[in-house]
Amino acid sequence: MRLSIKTKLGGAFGAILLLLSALVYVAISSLSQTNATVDRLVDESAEAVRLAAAIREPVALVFANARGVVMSDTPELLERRYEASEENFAEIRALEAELEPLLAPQEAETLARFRESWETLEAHLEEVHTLTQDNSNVRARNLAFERLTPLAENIGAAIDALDARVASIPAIDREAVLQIELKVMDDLRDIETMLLSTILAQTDEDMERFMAEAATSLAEAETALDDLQAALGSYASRELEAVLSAWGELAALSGEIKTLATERTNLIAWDIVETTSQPVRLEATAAINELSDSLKADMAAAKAAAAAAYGTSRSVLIGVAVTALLVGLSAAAWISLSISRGLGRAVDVARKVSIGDLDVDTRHSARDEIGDLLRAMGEMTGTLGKMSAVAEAISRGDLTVEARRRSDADALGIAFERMLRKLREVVRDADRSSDGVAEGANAMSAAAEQLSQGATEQAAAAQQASSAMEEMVANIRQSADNASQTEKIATQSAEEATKSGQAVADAVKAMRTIAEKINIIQEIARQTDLLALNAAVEAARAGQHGKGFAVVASEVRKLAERSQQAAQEIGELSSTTLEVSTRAGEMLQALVPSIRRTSDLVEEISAATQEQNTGAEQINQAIRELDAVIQQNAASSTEAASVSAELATQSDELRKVIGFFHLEAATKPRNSPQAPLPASSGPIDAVPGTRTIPKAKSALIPNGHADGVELDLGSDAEFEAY
Amino acid sequence: MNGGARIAGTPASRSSEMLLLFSLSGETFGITVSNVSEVLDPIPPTEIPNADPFAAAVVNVRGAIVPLIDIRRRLRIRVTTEDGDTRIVVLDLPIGGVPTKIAMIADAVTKVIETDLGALEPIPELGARWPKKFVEGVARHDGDLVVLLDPQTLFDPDEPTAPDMQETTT
Repeated sequence: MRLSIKTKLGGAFGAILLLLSALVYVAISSLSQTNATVDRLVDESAEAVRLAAAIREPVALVFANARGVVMSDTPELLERRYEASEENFAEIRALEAELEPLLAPQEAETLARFRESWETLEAHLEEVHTLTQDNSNVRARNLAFERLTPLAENIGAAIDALDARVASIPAIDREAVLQIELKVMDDLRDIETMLLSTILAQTDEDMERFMAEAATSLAEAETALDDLQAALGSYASRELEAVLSAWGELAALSGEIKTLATERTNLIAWDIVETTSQPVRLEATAAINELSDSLKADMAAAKAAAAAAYGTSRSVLIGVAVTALLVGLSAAAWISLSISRGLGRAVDVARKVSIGDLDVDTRHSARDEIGDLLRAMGEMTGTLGKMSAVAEAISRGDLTVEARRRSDADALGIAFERMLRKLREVVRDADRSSDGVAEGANAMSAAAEQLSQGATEQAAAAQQASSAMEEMVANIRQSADNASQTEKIATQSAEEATKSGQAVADAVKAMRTIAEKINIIQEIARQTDLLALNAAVEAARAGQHGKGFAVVASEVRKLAERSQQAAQEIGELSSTTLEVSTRAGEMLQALVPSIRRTSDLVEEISAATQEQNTGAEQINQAIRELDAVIQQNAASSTEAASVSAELATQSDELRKVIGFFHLEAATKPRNSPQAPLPASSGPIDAVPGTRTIPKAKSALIPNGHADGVELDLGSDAEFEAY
Repeated sequence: MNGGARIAGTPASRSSEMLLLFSLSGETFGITVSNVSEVLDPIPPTEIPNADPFAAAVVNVRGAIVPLIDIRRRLRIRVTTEDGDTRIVVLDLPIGGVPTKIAMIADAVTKVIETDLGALEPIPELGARWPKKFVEGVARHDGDLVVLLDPQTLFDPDEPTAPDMQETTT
């Protein structure tokens, strides 16, 4: 039969739980028992004891109040004390009512006894109350204190007045009267004393005695009064009358006091309290004490019973707990051992699987969950084995195998599916691509060839351009030479013109000097003329003697005039010459800037021609560089051709490599390898009519080529680097 | 000597006389050589303030201060500007019996001629430009007329001076 871990654990825990519930039951029942005992102890026995003790107090108070009632002076006090005793009774009644249900039968009897006693006491109190309400003793006493004493004083005063009157009447025997008066006063004091004693007498005999003495004194006093009346005769009748009337009142009062005193209600009440009630009270107290003792005994018994119950339940609980412990330990040991053994097996299996050992033994004898686990692991190793078989097939290049996912959560299976699908796509694409690469390589080879040809043609064109440029350079150089010569000539002309100008200026200066000199000559001629005139004047003044001198003077004058005229003519001529030469100088001066301007322009032309020459050189240089580039292009195209051949080879290789994978069960025959590429043409040459373009950079143009012109590249020194 | 010359020039004995010809404003004037001291180039004159317009300035002739007389005012001839031919004629005249040097300005001094004073002709009454008292007569010389001036009147300072010609003529 299958005994799963669940069952085992259930059984063990069930047993333990059963034992535990038994334990709990026992514990709860003993606890409730204890609780009941304690409740009874607290609620009933202790309460009863307390109530019994509490009752004692009002009982004692009742008695005290009863005494107070008797001894009250005023009715108010009396009433208050009576009410207090009533309250005490009510309290006793309430406590008793409370106590009664808590008592056992024999205790109830005791209580009944007590009740009887206090009910008697209550009756007594009622009696006392009635008696005390009467309160005759007190009234008598009050009467005595309130009226007797003032009355006695009145009598005293009246007798004094009488005495005074008597003293004024000589006819009266004053001595006799005084004696009588003293006798009356003595009697009066005796009566007062006896009456008070009567009131305060404790026993009937005493009272009787005191009353008799009072009556005696009264009688004696009345006799004395009569004697006094006789002694006085008709004298002092008014005063005597006052004494007599007061005395009459005294006699009446004494009668009244006596009546009250004989009633003696308070004393009776006191007697009741002291004699009749005392035993009853003692009895009640004894009953309640007995009740209290009995209750305390009950409580002690209950305590002992509770202790016994505790001992019993403790031993029961210990026994059950030990049993439960033993059961639990043994069950735990058994279950844990069996589980750890099974799980150890499972861990071993999992470890082996994790390091890839799929041939592990997963058989297990146990028929519990561990067994299930090991069986499941066995299934797992089985499916992993299938997966590994698929992977092995793929590794052999067989892409025809099918990998199916075992479930939607099978990441490995899905990955295998996807991998297979992707691999198929990739292989197919690679196959297609390698075809494309091969075709591309062919096309590229053809293009490289074309490129090579183009490069050759470019080279020829570059040569033509170079020779044309050379011619242009020669022309430009000639122009430059001519320009520079012209410039020199122009400069020289300018210098010569300047010199001519200078010469003309010198000539002008000379002319001016001549003119000045001629002026001098003119001046001299004029002076001579003047001198000749003066000489003529002198000669004329000399008269006949001066005739010859006058002739000389006249001749001198003529010469002077002639020389003056000649000088004037020369002056005019020289001034004309001056004018002309000045103009010539100006014209020459005007000519010089023109010549200089011409020189400048020619210089500019020369410079421009030089620049042109430089530009042409640069163009030549550019053409050379262009040629180099063309050479490089040719080389590159050759390289491209070889690379395309290499590419074709590589694509073939790739195709072979891809051929490792079988896509379909019956592999279709692959496309026959591409037609071999045209043999790479290597360095491009053989364009008819052109020369071989060397692969590497080589001398650009061979000397003496038919079409080319040798470019003069050696004269860079005269150009500035740009 | 001057006295002799003067005597020689008296009308009684006059047959021929040497004349110094000079021109003023295109007109040819003559003055007897015996009165002439010398002919000079122009000398810068010094104006005398508040002087008689007849002798407004003096000139320095070889250290002697000589009044410069502008006879053109008296002769009512237009004053012309100086040029290269302008001369100063220094005269020796007995004025008030005292021989005195007097300078006068001439536009040009032409020559010394000998002329016959007997052939002097008086200046016509009508149309004569010059005050008659200053002119001795008109002589002919080479087809031209030469006005012979009388130095005695011409340089007499008491003669009324003609109104200023400059203001009227220029």
